Amino acid sequence: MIRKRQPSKQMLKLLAALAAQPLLWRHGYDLMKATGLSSGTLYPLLMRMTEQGLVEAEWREPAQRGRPPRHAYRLTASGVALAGSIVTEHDAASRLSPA
Amino acid sequence: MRTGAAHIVMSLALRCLPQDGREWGQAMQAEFDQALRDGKPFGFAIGCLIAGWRRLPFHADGRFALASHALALGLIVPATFHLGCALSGVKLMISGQDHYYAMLAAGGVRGRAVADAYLTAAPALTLLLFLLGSAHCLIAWAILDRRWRRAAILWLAATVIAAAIVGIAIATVPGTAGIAIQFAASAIELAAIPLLAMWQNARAGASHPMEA
Repeated sequence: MIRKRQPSKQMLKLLAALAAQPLLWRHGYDLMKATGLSSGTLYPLLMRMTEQGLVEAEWREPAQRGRPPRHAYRLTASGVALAGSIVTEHDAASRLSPA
Repeated sequence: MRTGAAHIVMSLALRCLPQDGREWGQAMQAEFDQALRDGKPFGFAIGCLIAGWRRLPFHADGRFALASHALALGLIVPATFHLGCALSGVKLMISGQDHYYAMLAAGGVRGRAVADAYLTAAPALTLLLFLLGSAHCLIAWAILDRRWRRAAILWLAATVIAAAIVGIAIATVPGTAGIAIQFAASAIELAAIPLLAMWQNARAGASHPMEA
């Protein structure tokens, strides 16, 4: 279900980072670096967005042997739709606002 | 040293997550490994701890932990007060200069009688205050340990000690404000300990319906 409430600035950052390559699975630590969000902000956001069906998560085998499997995230179809609608709204607002 | 502290913080963070949120804990743990390699484990672990705390009010385990820690903190406050009073009592007995005794003794014949009674009772009062403070600390510990039987026995002991203190206080100290506070605190403990125990039992029953 797509949330009705205006997304927070942190959520917009995360949506933008995930929407940049929507098919790519991203790890939590990489998302922290890409968005500049701390783990204390990122994980509650990821948990909430997963509960809302905007993000899907799955375990990925480690790239190197001896390291633990990692959780990876990407946008669901609803997440991609939300990200798209926000970009559309943003563009419309930019066109309406005086230069 | 910092890495060790980061590991401790990370374990605390994982303990703050609910039973059904263990997968998120494992996810954080895997990324913690990455943060370790990146040389930034402490900041990452603190963030995870904050994330765990932020989720506490939203799950049953978290709400229970918050309630029991709030009660434990509420017990530690009077325990500190009682232990502080006991320490002051020891100091006054050692120094031999008790201003309260001097104040009571200045109140004529009746005042002198009360002051003498106070002086006689002071060692017992000091010991009882020490025992009461210690009992409250142990109750707080038992609550966090979820040992309700022990908490109830300690509460009974604390109430008996408090009653003894009140008995001595009525005989020597004018005014009943402190006594009312003492009774109010005992009543709150009396209600809170069985309520927490019932809450925990209800949660245990809900998570293992076949055993209930």
